Amino acid sequence: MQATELRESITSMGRIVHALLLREIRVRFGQRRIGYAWAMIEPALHVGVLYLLKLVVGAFTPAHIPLVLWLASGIIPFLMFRNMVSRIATIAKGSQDVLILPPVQLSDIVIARALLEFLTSTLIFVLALALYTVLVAPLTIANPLLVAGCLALLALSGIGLGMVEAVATAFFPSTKPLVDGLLRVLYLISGVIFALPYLPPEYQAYLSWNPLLHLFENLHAALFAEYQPLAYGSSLTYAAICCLLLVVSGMALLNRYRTMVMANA
Amino acid sequence: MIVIDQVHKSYRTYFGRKTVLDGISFTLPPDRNLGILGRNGAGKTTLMHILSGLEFPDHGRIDRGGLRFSWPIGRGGIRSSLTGRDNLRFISRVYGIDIATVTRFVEDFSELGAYLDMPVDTYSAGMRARLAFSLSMACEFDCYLIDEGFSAGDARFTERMNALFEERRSRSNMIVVSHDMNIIRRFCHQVGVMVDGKIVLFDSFDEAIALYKTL
Repeated sequence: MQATELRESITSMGRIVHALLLREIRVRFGQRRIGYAWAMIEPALHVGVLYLLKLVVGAFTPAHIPLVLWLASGIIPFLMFRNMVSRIATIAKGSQDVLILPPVQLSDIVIARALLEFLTSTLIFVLALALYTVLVAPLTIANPLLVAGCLALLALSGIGLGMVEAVATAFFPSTKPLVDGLLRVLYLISGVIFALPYLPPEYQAYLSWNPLLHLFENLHAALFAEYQPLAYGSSLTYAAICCLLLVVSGMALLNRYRTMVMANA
Repeated sequence: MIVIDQVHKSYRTYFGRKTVLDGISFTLPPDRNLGILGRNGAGKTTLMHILSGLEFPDHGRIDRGGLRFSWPIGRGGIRSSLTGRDNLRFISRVYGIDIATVTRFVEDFSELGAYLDMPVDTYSAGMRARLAFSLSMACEFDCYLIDEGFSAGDARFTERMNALFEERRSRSNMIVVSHDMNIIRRFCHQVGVMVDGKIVLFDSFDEAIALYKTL
């Protein structure tokens, strides 16, 4: 491919993703203003409920780290992951009328949807941290670059799992409740709320097979200098390799079974 | 000159491979319109998809002669939950055309008035067609692919479409799929009848109708 041709195809892709992004915003938040509000209310509710739980049950997070901050910094990224999976898994829904336009590729829709989800969640994440700094106490982030890296890997894993789910549900519709159930379990065993050192020691070795756990342990360590994760539960390399495998297999599957997936709207 | 040469397309189904297009060939000079008739399931929509570039043939050659083809108009491209204006902006962005220019054209040509700012859900079938056709005409394609939906517009709009196509005759043509023989008679210089994944071409409308009626 010529350099100019490549540049042309990249600018045209950028143009189309931009168009899709604006359209997604319209579709999701446009008619119902509650859309924006819900994106913020939902994580706030989760944080609230777990805050109360902590008061009743006792310690399950590091004592020297403010509980609200710990919860918010785990829950907001997890909800991003969960929403990412479901937005990409239901890629066929609402895409038919866009894919009738020959310049629009399925990959453009995946990118636009993922980008919107990522930007919305990151904004809420930053807002939550800023709100804490303003209202409670100034916050110093131990390793901002690692925070960004963890969020990016989490988003990519969500895209990968979403693509795999999209293909799986096209063949076996019963996959969807299975993945929903899996996500609920992952919420509890991925270090989102309960840090690995606070989980039963006899299960820690098994739990550390879960690549999401490694991301959240790293995320919390990157945010809070006081938090010391267990070495075998916080390998960024392991999480990155699993993420890559998910994304590559998701892309390959979606590319191969595209027609089946689109017929499943 | 648009050249379609030995285009084949088949799909895998639960009942084995189903051939939809079985060696379609035709050439179309840039100043002539082609009408396509055929029973349901004859492969008309698949052919339109392949012409537009949405799908690729299993084998065969398509030479669009450097012309810009539209999307298959009448088969979506418009989202009902969004307003006419939102749809307009989206399509302008996708094709990289100035939104203000497209807006001016659509406001004037579609005569939708205040409906342009209402969700397309609230439109009648005719109004939807007026939006879709105005929008595609604003994009100034060289070849329009029209898959049904043409007759949904009222007489006044069909008249305006006709006038616009006449005016643009030298720079754009169209390929029309329709069950409405009046539309085909009105717009097309060449008629193809699709049977079992093949196409038979006629220069005379009456001969084409004679074959179509025997199907």
